[in-house]
Amino acid sequence: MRRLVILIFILGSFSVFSQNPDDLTKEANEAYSRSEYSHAIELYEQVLALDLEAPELYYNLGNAYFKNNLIGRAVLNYERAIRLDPSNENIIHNLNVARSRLIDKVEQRPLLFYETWWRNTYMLQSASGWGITAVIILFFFLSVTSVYLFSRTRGVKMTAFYTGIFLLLLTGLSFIFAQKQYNRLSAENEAIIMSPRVSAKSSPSQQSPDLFLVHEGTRVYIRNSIGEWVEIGLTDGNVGWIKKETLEVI
Amino acid sequence: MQRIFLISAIMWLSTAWATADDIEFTASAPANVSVGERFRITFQVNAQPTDFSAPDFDGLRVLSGPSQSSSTSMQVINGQMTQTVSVSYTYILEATREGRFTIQPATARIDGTLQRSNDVTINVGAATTPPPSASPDQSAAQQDPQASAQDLFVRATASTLSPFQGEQVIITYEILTRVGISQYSIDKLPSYRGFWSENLTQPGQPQTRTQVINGETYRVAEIRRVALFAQRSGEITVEPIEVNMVVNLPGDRRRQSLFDEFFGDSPFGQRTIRQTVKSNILTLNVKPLPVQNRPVAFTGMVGTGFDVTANISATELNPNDAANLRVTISGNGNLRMLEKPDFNFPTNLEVFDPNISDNIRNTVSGIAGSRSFDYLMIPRTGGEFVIPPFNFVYFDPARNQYISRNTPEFVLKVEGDPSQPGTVPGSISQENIRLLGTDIRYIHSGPITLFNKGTVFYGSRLFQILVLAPFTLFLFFVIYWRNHIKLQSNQQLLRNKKAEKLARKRLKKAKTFLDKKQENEFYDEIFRALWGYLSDKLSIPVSILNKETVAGAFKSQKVPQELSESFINTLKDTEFARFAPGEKEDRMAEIYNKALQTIVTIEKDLRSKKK
Repeated sequence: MRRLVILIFILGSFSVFSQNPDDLTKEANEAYSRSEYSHAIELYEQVLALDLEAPELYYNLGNAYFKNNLIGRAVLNYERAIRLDPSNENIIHNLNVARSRLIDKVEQRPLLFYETWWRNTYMLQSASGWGITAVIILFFFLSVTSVYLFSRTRGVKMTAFYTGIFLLLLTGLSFIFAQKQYNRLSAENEAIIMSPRVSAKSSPSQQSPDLFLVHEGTRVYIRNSIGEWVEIGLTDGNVGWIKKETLEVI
Repeated sequence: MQRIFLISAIMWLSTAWATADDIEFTASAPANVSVGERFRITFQVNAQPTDFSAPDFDGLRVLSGPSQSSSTSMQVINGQMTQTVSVSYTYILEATREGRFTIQPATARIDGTLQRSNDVTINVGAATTPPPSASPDQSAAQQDPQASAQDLFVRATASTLSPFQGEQVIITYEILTRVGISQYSIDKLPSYRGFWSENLTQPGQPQTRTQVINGETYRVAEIRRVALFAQRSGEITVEPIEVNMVVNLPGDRRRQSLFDEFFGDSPFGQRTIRQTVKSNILTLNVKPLPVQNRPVAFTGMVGTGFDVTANISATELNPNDAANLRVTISGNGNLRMLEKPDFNFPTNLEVFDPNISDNIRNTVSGIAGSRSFDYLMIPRTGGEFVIPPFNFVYFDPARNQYISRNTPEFVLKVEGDPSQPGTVPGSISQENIRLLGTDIRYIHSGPITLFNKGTVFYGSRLFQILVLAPFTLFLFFVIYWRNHIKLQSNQQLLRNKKAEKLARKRLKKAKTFLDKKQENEFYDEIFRALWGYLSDKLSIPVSILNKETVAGAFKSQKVPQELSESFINTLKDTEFARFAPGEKEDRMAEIYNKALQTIVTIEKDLRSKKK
C-alpha cells in the first residue's frame, strides 16, 4: 500500500531534480558500507537539502550518525524516520538502541492499558497509510450499504447491515487515526536536545534559577516560545525554559 | 528493593561515564605579564586523563609544577545522577625576557583517545616593578663574593642509583652549609621526566643535623624528599633543583661559631645576600625487570612486603541478594598505580565494577599502605558459586624475584534451583544491560524512493477526490435505483389493485361461456382468471407460476394455510374437471362457484392484511 502512495508522489516530483539524488543516496550507502560514516552523512544531508525525504533516508542517516557517536543526531533522524513509517521494525530497534546510550532516562508517565492499545493501533501506520486505508474501507462501506438498501432477500440484507456498521466503524477510526498522525506530523511540537548539557531555567532569562538538567538526545515537547527561548516539557512532567539553539524540532 | 535501586544508580553512573564524550581540555594563563612576574598556567580537563604531558615552555622558566588537583562533583536531579570530574595541572612560570610566547597544546589520553588542549599566547612586557630579587641589599651583595661552593651547596642523594623499573627510589635534597641561612625557597623543581613522582616532604621546619665531610663540619637540613618510580629502563637523568637562599655572610669578622642558630637572626655586622644554588645532577641506571620466571599474572607492581587479603560479607544468601567481596592489597610500593584484580567470576553471578578505597601514606621512608577493592556481587539464580582465588604477583627488588600471593577460594551458597532464573526486580536496569550489548541494525541498502518533503497523502487533493468520488458514485447509484424501483412498484401496485377486477371480468366472461355451454372456452377463462389474479396479486410473472411458487408466495404473504390449500385445490379441480367424464354442466357451475369463492376470500384476507 505504501508503495502505491510513493509511486503517486514520485510521478509528481520527478521533474524537480536538478542533481540526481538517487545517485547521491547510492553513493552514500556505499560510503557507509566502507565505514566512511562522515562522508555518508555529508551525502545523505545533501539529498535532504534538495527538499526530498524518505523514511529509509532518515534511517540510514541516523545509522551513520550513530556510528560516528553523534547519538543526539542519530535519535533525531530515527524519530523523523519513524514519523514517516511508524511500524518499521528496524527503525524502532535502532531508535531503542540509540536511546539506551543516552544520558537522560526520562520516566514515561505509565499509560493505562487501553491508552497503550489506542497508541499502538494508531502508530501502526503513518498519516498517509491511514488515509489510504480510510479511502479503501469507505469504498467497501458504500458498496455494502447499496447492497443493504436494494437487496430483497432477508439474509443478504441482514448480513449487509451488520457488515455495513462494522465497516462504518472502521472507516471512522481510520479517519481519526489519519488525522491524529497528521496532527503529530504538522504540529512540530516535539524536539530533540542537541547540546551535550542544557540546564532548564524557570523563566526565559539567563539569570533565572536552574530547574533541571537535560542531556543530548532527550525528547522534549515544545509548549511555548518567546524570542530565542522555548518552554519545554519532559514526558515525566517537568517543565522549563531553554535556548532555542540547543534543540532541533523533529 | 533499596539495594536494587542503588545498583541501578551505580549502573547509571557507569553508563553516564561511557557516554561522556564531550571532553573539554583547556589551558588558561594570563594574557599579559611582565618580565620577572610569576604566573600560573592551568590545564584543565573534565575527565580522568591517563597520560598527561605538558608542552615545552620555551622562553619561560618553570618554577614549579605540575601540581595536580582533581575534583568530582555529583548531582542528583529527579533521581538522575550526573557526575562531573575536573582534573587540573598547574605550573608556576616566570617570564624571563620580553616577547610574545605561544605555549603549544598539552596532550592527554582520555578514554583511549589522544586529546589536545588549546594553545595559549602570552605577551611578556617590560618589567613594571622591579623583580623581587632586585632588592637594595641584593644589589649591594652583587659586588660582593657569594658564599663559595665549599661553604654552601645543595646535595641530592638517591636511595639507590640502579633501581629496577617501577622500584621506589627516594631522592633526598639537603642543604649543606657552613654559613648562616635565614630563609630559603625552592625556585625550580625538576619535571622528573620518565618517572612517576610523589612528594614525601613533611610539612614544617626542616630538622638539622651536623655532618663532617673531608674534615669540615657542615650543618645539614633536608628540604625535600621525593619518591620516584621509573617508568622505563635505561639511563634517566634527574634534573637538579634550584634553591634560593638568604645567606648571612660573616663579612670582615671572623666566622660564626658552629653552634650558631641555623635559621637564626643574623647577628650584628653580618651581610645578608640572596643566592641561588643548584643541586647536583643524579643519573639513575634503571634496570628492566627480569623476563625469566615472570609469572603470567604479573601486572607490574614492584615493591616490598606486599600482602593480599580477601573477605566476603556473606557466603549463604538468597537469589538477588547482594554480597560484598573485599580484596585488600597492602605493602610498600606505588599502590596508586595498582589496577583492579582480574577475577574470573561465574557467569550467573552479576558483579559490578569494584569500588576502590585507598589508605596510602606518603611517609619519609616511601609510599606504603593499602588499596581495597569492594566487589558487589548479586547471584541471579540459586546454586553454588565458586569465586576462584585471586593470584597477586609482585616483584621484590630486594630479593630480586617475583613473589606470588593468593586469596582463598570462596563458595557462595545460594538457595533455590540453579536452572531457574530468579525474578529480577527493577526490570529497567535489566533492560539497560541487555541493550548495551546490542548494536544498531544495518542501513536500508536497497533503492530508496524519495518524495518531496512535507507531502502527505492524507489531506491532499488526491485524497479528497478519492473520498468524495465513492460518495458521488453512491449517490448517483441510489437515485437511479430508486427511480427504477419506483417505476416497477407503480406498475405492480396498479396490477395489484386491478387484479380482482380483472378476475371478476374474466369470471363474468366464463359465466357467459357457461350459459352457452362452451366447455373449452369456459375452462380457459377460469384458468386465466385464477392464474392472472395470482400473478398480479403476488407480483410473480406468469411464466414462472406453478403450484410450488404459489404456495411459497402465499406463505411469504402470510396467507393462512387452508386458504392457500383451497386455492391450489380449486386449480387442481379445474384441471381435473376439464377432462373428467360425467355431467358437464353441473361441474362447470360448481367450478365457477369455487373459483369465485376462492378469489373473494383471498382478496378479503389480503385486504385485511394491508390494513
